[in-house]
Amino acid sequence: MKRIYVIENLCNGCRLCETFCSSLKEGVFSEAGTRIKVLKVPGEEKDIPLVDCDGKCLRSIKEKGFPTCVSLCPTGALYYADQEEAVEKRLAYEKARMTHSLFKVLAPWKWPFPWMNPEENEGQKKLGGDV
Amino acid sequence: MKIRQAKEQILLRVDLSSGSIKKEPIPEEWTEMYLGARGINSRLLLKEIKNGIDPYGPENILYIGTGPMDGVPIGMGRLSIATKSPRGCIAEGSSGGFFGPELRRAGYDFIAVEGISEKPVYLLIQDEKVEIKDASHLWGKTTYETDAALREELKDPNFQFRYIGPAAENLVHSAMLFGNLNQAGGRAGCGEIMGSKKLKALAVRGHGGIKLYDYEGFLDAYKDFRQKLDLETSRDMWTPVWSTFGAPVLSRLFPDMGQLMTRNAQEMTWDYDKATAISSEKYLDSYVTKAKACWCCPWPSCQKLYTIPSGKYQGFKGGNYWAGQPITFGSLIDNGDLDLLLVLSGLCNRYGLDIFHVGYTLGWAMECFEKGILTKADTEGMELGFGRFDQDELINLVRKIAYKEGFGELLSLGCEGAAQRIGKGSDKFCLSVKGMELEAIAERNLLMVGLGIAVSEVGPDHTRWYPPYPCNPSLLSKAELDELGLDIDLKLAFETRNPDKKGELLRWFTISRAIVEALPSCVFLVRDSLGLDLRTWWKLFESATGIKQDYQEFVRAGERIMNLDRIFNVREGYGRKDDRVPYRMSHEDVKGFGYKKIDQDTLDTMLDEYYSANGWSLSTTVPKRSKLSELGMEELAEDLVSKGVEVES
Amino acid sequence: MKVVNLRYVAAAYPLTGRLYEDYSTQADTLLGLIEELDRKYRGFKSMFCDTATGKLRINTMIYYGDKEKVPVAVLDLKQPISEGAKITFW
Repeated sequence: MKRIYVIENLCNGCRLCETFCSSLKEGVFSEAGTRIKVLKVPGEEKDIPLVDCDGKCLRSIKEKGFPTCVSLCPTGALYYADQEEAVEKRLAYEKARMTHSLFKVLAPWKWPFPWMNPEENEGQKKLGGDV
Repeated sequence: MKIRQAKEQILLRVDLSSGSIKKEPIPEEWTEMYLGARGINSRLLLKEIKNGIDPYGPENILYIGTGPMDGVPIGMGRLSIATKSPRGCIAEGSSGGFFGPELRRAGYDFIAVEGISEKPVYLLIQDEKVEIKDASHLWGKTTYETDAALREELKDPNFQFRYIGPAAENLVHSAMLFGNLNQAGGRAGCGEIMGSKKLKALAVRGHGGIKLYDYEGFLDAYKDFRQKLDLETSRDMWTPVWSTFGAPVLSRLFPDMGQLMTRNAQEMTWDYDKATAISSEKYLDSYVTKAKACWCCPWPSCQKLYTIPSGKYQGFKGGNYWAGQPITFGSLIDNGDLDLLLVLSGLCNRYGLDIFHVGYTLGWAMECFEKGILTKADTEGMELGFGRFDQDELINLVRKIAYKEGFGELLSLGCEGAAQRIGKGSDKFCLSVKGMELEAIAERNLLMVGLGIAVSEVGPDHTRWYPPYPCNPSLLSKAELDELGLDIDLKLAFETRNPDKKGELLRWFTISRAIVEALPSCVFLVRDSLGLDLRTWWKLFESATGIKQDYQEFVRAGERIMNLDRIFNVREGYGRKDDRVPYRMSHEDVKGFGYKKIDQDTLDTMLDEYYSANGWSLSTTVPKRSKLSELGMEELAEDLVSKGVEVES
Repeated sequence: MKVVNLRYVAAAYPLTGRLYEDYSTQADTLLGLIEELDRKYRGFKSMFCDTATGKLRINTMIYYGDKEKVPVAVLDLKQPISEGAKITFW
């Protein structure tokens, strides 16, 4: 069964997810009636999406079959998968994060270019390059 | 929950002298003519601020405004902040964050603050309830301390704030407003004016909702919007770069191209190893702790938080290392130490200082020091050469600027103010226009940039015509470009060192960016075809508000806003003589790259074309009566005449 | 063989893991160089070349400058490269 998973470290606090979710029923953008809420920790240092939803979205705005929040999230902090896929995706993120600093701010599946995927490029130099 | 229509705009008027608080509707006609945010602010400035008033006096009004597209996921939390600058011209700047949508949800779109409070206060807005609260416990606190104190006091973590730091309290030149710790705005003088009113902060909490006129139509336009801006689908190389690595990547491109202001722009290239040491890549590798974004931004990480990982400044935290700091605290002062750069930047945010003011004034001071105009007797014993300074002394100097102490008091005036006091020809080293310091972008190889900084009514502000490099017109057909008003010879216009067609191109960019800022939305999002094709913005606006205008009428709003700003300035005595470039740019070629100075003939060619394209007088720059009539602003012509300003037919 | 100075900025950085390198190449054109680099950094060619048109991808950029010359934006991938050229990929 698919559900929405969260990578908290990738949440940038933009609130696209909760804002659009709030509008899906009646077309009103607010903080009410949303099934996902971004908890902002004072000091701006943490943004934590709290999901109160089974993933069966009222409507998929961007990608058919995907909850609106997941399809609009710019960083990939939200993903929609069954458990097996969720494990694979999370592992992919954690490995990518260890390989390159870019994935501090973005999920690897959101990056539109090739990159030195550690599993495909064993001989590649790791993070840091010639700096 | 109180639900508002997206097109409704309400002004909250607060008089700090009398303590009165009133609500007023913005006329719907204004929304049609000027949209919102920057557009309405510009109109309010002209209507309510008499020319010649003392900017620090009670008659000056500080406007903080959002618009119909905020609270709606296009607004990006953009806020326009406007007032009469201490320099006499219009002051207007924008910032992002989360204050705008919260303000809209509280039921307001604009706040007009007039008068002067006897003691420090802050404005507390909680939906219908608006109070002027004592802020004596906040006065003197840095922006970070103010944020923490307000959070502690107000408890609800969803409050949004705008505040000033000690720099604005002390009326330091170009001090700014801040929010969400590192979101800065209003560098043209807005922070100083807020400080002069003893208004320390604004706090807002709103529980309402925003309803669109045509939700389904909006969603269609939004999908098109996202198609152009998402990393996977954007047809623009700047989209993935800007949205992840960020603008400091330019430190690795500009040195080779003669575009990096180095040692107060005496050179335009820099040691590549130093440039790499302060690059985005190095920043991301070793300092970035987290991505941040403004409200509903479709980009992953335009902003970031950082922590210095080791060394003398280990543990120092900050955010928003962007295009300015690699220049202001990097090449301009010949500093290749990223730790120091980030500390200087972070301190500016805490004190509420403008990084461009501090950086360019330091650059001026260093050049003066190296040329013997300033000595250790002036600098309180500080060695102040390019790349030859004590780091801790430099850090302390930033504090002194904020508190106007010692040598910092001179630098707190800005480079023009400081040069005026020092004399000895030091004004030639000022990199400023209309009393405001430059930004990050070079002028002598990108002539449109030179023209842009010269004519900008607030002083140098590239966001008024962003981006500085040509957009990609191949995304649109010739017929589409003509329909969009881009029937300019684009090939010639995009030749960066040819003065021809720069005036026409700049005019187009300025109009289009005024529209984006008035919606409001973020000018960084003018990517893919959004920078040239405003129809997506038009459809978003129409579906949100229900205001049906043909496309040309929508674009006319941007032209009206341009004219409002120019009229404000001419009423205050600004004219062609003030539309200039810094002395260095007009008298010195770029060494080693063959880029010529922007001499007066070249500037005059571009100015004539710009004023002519705008329908402004070539001699006085006053908008002609025929232009104002065309824009439905005839009454402004009469107003100018009544104030003794000649208006040509 | 020519030695060229390559810089990898922004999007090119996660692919190469390097910020710059002095690279010895047998290629005569930029396209040839990209093909060589593709053997070293898998995906390099597909990143910069649109396979359908053979042209530079719209969401990437390459700056090329002969030795001592100011780099300019590349329009034609078949342009020649010379000894000591400075090439920035992003």
